[in-house]
Amino acid sequence: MLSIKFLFLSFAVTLSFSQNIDKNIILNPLMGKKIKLENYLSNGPVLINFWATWCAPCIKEMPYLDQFEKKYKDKGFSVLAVSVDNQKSLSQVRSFIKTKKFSFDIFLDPNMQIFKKLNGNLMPTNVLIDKSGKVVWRHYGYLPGDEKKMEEQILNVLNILP
Amino acid sequence: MYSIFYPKNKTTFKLFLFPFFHLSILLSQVSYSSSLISNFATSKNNFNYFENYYDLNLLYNNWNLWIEMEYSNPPALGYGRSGMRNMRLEYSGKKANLKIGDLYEFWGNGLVLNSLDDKSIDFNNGIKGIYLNTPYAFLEMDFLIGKQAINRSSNRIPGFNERIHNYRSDFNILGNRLKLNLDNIDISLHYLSAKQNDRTVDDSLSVFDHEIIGLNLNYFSNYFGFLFELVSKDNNGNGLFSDINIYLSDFLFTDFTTFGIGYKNYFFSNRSPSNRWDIVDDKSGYIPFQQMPTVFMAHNSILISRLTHVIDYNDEVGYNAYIKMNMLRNSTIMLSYSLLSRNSEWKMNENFEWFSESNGSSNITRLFLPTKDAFFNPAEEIYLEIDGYDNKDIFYYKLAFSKMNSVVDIFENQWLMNDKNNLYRSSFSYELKDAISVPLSLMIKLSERNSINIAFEYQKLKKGFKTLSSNTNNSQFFSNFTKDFQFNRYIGIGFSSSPKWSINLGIDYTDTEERIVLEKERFSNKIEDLLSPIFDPSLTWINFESSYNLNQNYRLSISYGSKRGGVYCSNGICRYIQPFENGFNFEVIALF
Repeated sequence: MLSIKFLFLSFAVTLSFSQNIDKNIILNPLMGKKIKLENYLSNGPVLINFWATWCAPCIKEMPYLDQFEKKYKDKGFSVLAVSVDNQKSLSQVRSFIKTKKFSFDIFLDPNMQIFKKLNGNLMPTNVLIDKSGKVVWRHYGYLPGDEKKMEEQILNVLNILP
Repeated sequence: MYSIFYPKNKTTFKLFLFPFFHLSILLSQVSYSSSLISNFATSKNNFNYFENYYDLNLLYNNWNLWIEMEYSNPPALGYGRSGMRNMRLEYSGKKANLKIGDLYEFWGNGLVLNSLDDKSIDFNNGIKGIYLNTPYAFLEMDFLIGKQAINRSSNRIPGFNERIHNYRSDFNILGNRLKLNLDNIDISLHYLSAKQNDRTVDDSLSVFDHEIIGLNLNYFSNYFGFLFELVSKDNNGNGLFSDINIYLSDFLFTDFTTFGIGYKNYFFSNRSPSNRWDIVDDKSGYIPFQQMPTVFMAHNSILISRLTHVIDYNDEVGYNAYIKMNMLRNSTIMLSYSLLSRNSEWKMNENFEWFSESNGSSNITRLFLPTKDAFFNPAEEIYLEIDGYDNKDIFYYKLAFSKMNSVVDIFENQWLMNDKNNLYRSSFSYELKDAISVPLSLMIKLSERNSINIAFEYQKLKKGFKTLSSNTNNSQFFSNFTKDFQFNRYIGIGFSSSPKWSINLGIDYTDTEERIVLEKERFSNKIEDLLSPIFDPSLTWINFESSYNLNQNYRLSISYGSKRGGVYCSNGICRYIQPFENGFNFEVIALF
């Protein structure tokens, strides 16, 4: 009887899957060799931001991402901005980032494969991942003021009291 | 007494328990995430759809399984489907990465391979097959084998429908890539072979072999960036794309300045104006997984994006020169100039038959730079944009100016011999588009959470036919509209409260409509009726939408009203999207 209970229990555990992320996700940088997500996660939590040069809310949000990257970089936090610009606007990504003087790392996902893997559905999509690879916060779209909530979540994952 | 849970003896019980126990341990190491998008719409002009897409990602050690299920009856665009849309199994290791299933890959700048699934225009050139990537130090090798069935629209065969594609092509694909990754430079060699099987207009089977070889080079430093890609197809067509950027910090009065120029010269097929877009009878030319840079600005303005130039990947030369300046902390100014045209001119003889200097072959004198000559289908745009935040980050603005003109289609270009045996242009007829647009977008933060968004767009559009008759020897312009110019305006007023909800009212109106419109019937909605003293309901499309984030996992959107139809372009592919007249649209996004 105990074994049967254990059997059901183990299935119950099985059904409550964890929302872990694939640390082996290969990121394609603007320049240079591909890099795995785990290289960033080994330093600390990561905020993955999906954006595009043609996405107006994404552009409104980006100065705040840059602020957070600079503010919490020494705590191991990284912002990875993954552009989903397709071939139509892909060559504009580099000049856009350089001109805006953003300091976070930029990656390319023109066929939205990483976007799909992280269940992105709207632009921008933000996914905050802790050091262990667990998704702790996710947000679709950008409404002015969302940066406050985002910073709260970053402080939480860094275990810093506001 | 004994049931499935109580086998007859202990040995059987252990045997029964064993696989379940192991399966359970195995599954407990699996992590998963999934999402559902459900979209329902109903309108008075029968633009009804019910689409459901469910994405599931399963992760076990180095293995990842992605499944996309679809239930649509019908979808907004394309065939209805109920079942699996995409599936891919991936293995990521230190020495190799393997993908089996639906592949979406992007090589270089897309001149050889760019496969994507774009539901907004119902374009899917994903490949069903196997992809192997083997990285070794600074070297990477990729191998691809698979099949592909692409659906496209053509008015050359029966069954043309603005919502559902009517022409299918099948491809067998084999590809290789060799990539060298050095510190500041990437160099890659691409090879792709594709065997195309489909049917011609007389329903006979057609087989065509394509072969593409490409070289890609990418250099980047803090002061300079350089992209270059050259491809050769079937030994007679070729394409070149290049983009150069120079980065200057503290240049003159700016914090940072970028000078850039993008250049393209595509020539894969020499086609007359009448069969320029033919995919049924002429299989030469570029293939659908060559989705290349357009070298033309991509816009997010509602009114400008309706005018986007339709890119001819078979035959187009052009450049886009731009300067981007960052100043006053968060403000950016951009000035861009683009000019595109075809490589050669097609003429008509005395019998109104098209001919080119090469008589249809690819041996023509190609242009190095585009021309503004109307008989080369030019497209030109001057674009100026300024955007940024104020010093306190409570006010965001974006103001732009665009002047765009293009020759859409050439219908007649007859050349005859005069008495002195010299050729002269005796008659012509072509369609042109000329527009000035000014989009403005403002966002004002009222408090930490609340903000107002205002958008105003203005457009003056000239569209019609220019003709020259040999009888009168005077060129004349015939407007497509009931007036010489069409004045379009878009007003958007929105309010949002972070992170929960937002509302927006969009008013899209014009002062005249095209003489021949695809959808003549209008069904005014209640908001349009209410505002009819200000806006003419027959020329106004008003839509109200609201979004609500229940929590980070659920988002609801509802909209009511009408949306104006028009040409919608994505990935360089354009498609007419019909208007949405007086209806509801309800969308749910859920994460599990």
